[in-house]
Amino acid sequence: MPWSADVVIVGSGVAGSLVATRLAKAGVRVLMLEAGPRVDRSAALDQFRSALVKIPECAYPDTPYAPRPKSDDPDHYFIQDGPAKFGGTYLRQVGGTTWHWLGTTLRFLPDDFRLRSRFGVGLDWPLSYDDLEPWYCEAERELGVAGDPKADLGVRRSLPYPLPPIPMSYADTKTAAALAGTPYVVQPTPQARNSEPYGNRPACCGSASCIPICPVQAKYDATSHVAQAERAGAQLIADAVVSRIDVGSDGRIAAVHVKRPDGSEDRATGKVFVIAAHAIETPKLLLQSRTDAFPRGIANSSDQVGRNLMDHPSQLTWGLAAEPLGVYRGPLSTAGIESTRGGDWRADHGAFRLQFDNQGWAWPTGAPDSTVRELVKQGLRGAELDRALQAHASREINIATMVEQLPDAANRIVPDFDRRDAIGLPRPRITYSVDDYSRKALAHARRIAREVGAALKATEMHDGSDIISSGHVIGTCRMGTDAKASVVNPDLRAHDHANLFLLGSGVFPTSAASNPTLTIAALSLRAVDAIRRAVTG
Amino acid sequence: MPLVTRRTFLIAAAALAPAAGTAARQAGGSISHEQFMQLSRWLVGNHQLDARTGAVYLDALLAVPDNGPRLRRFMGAAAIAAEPADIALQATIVEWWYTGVYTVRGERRVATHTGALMWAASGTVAPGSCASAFGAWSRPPRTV
Repeated sequence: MPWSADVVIVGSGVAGSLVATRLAKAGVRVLMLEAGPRVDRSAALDQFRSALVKIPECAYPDTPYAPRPKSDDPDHYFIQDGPAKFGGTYLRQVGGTTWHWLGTTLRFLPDDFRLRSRFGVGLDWPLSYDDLEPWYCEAERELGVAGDPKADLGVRRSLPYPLPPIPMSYADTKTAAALAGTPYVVQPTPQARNSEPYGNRPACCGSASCIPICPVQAKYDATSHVAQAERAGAQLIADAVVSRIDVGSDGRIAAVHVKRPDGSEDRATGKVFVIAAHAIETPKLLLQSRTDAFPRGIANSSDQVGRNLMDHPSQLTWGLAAEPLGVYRGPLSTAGIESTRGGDWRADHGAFRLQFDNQGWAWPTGAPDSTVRELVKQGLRGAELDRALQAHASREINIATMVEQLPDAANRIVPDFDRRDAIGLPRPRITYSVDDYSRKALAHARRIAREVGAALKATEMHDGSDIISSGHVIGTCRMGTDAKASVVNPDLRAHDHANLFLLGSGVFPTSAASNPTLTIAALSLRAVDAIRRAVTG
Repeated sequence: MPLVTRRTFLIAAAALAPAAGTAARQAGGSISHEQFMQLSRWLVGNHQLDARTGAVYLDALLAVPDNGPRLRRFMGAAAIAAEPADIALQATIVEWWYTGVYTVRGERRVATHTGALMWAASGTVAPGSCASAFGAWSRPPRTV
């Protein structure tokens, strides 16, 4: 007997679990299928501590049946087709990638929704900031966003933040003071991190490990909503890899096929299907489900599925401030320069933000280990070594710049039917490049990062030469009103199949320069009504 | 300078040497675990050192045949770290204690994350551990 439910949801990250919670609480029968396993937090913490290289994925299982990319090896899972290697990563496990997200919850700016109209590049979204604003409020309440009501982040707010702000780090406060009188205002970052107990989760204890794992779940992750959904009656099956989608003769989705780690196979039927498997696995599933009737794959009459893959291309700038700043304490980032996320220059180059790190040179050089090695090599021992290490570590600054990327149909993910994973499913083949629109933005951002360093009288300033990933996987199932040019409508319903919804940052028509998770959550919550109507209709 | 001077280290090492005479390692020309811990304390200064981590490091060091006699020589009256190879070995020991990462038979491994001395020396705690009360990161570091 196949599993059956009113709504079958593929994926249990922030999008899938939020929708599952809302539907289950409304009495809808919900089945969630998660490719990867359930993860125990203390076991993940142990794995993090014992990991030699502490990349974002290091705390979590990399199962043969639900493989996923690794930050330090872009060829680990993806088949890279060039010209650049795509470095975005995600997790396949209950709760999804929110296990290792930073927690930044910036709203997109009004201009982010009208890039073509305002600047003549990219394309407009089929909805406006005002359309989404109530859902941003809902998303902030669900995730538990702490923010500073005094910070002007370029958007109208109809409701206050649900939580008081996370205090800026001492280093951020000193940086803000050093930049006084310049055009660059350091602003506290809104973040889904508890500044006081909220949602049965405690306040932040400053573990400096938000990526890869918060030890106390002060940082929101989607296991919160998975638990809520299950309490409301939703069924979740882990280790259930959806391998194929069946379409009935009426054009509606009829079932999904599931592969289990033991080699067995199952099916799930339902009235409505929601694919919320992030912006690589969702298009891969649609495309690998091709049939004679749908030779381009499911939901792909537009030929846009898998295309327009985007990230926030990033570079690092680091140096040694003149005075101790006490980094390596608190959340991994509490502030940044946000005003550069918008501006008239967007006809010429992308918007960007500068994120101030609280973990010294850990990202660019692997400090403090690398600093220890250097100081030991210089012959320092004992108290001398301690003093030198503290003097160095406390002054390390690192700024991550992350920039907007325009959609490009040539940047795409397709299933590679010749290169398969351990359970026989095609691996993602990715074609990716970063154009001048983003490269120019990176150059501007680097210049400002250098000015920040100069304001702090920093020495030993370096710019990373590589363009790296922010881990923000965007595009690939774009939203629009024209069925010939987009995959889903503004309710996230597939143009081609009345009972299929696609959630996640894959539906973003453009990337903006803000971290995507809050917008994923807002769009998903907005889609709930349409999903419910599809169940009853 | 190290808080344990070379002279006090040598006195302590000399006192420990007879007591450790039954150790198989020592019979093989190496040093005992206690002696290794004493050597480590002399090298890293005023830190609490975990004995089990020390045992891991000593075993890893002794996996290299030359290291046993060299460590043994450190315990005697000969000049400490007179040769480049001696200096390199002592640097390795210091690096391992500070980073918590060691190498055995060419493979790098984690001995301890939370116990790596670099965190305390940097004035913080190992990532993944609750560091302090909420908001403490907004206050000046202890060096200011």
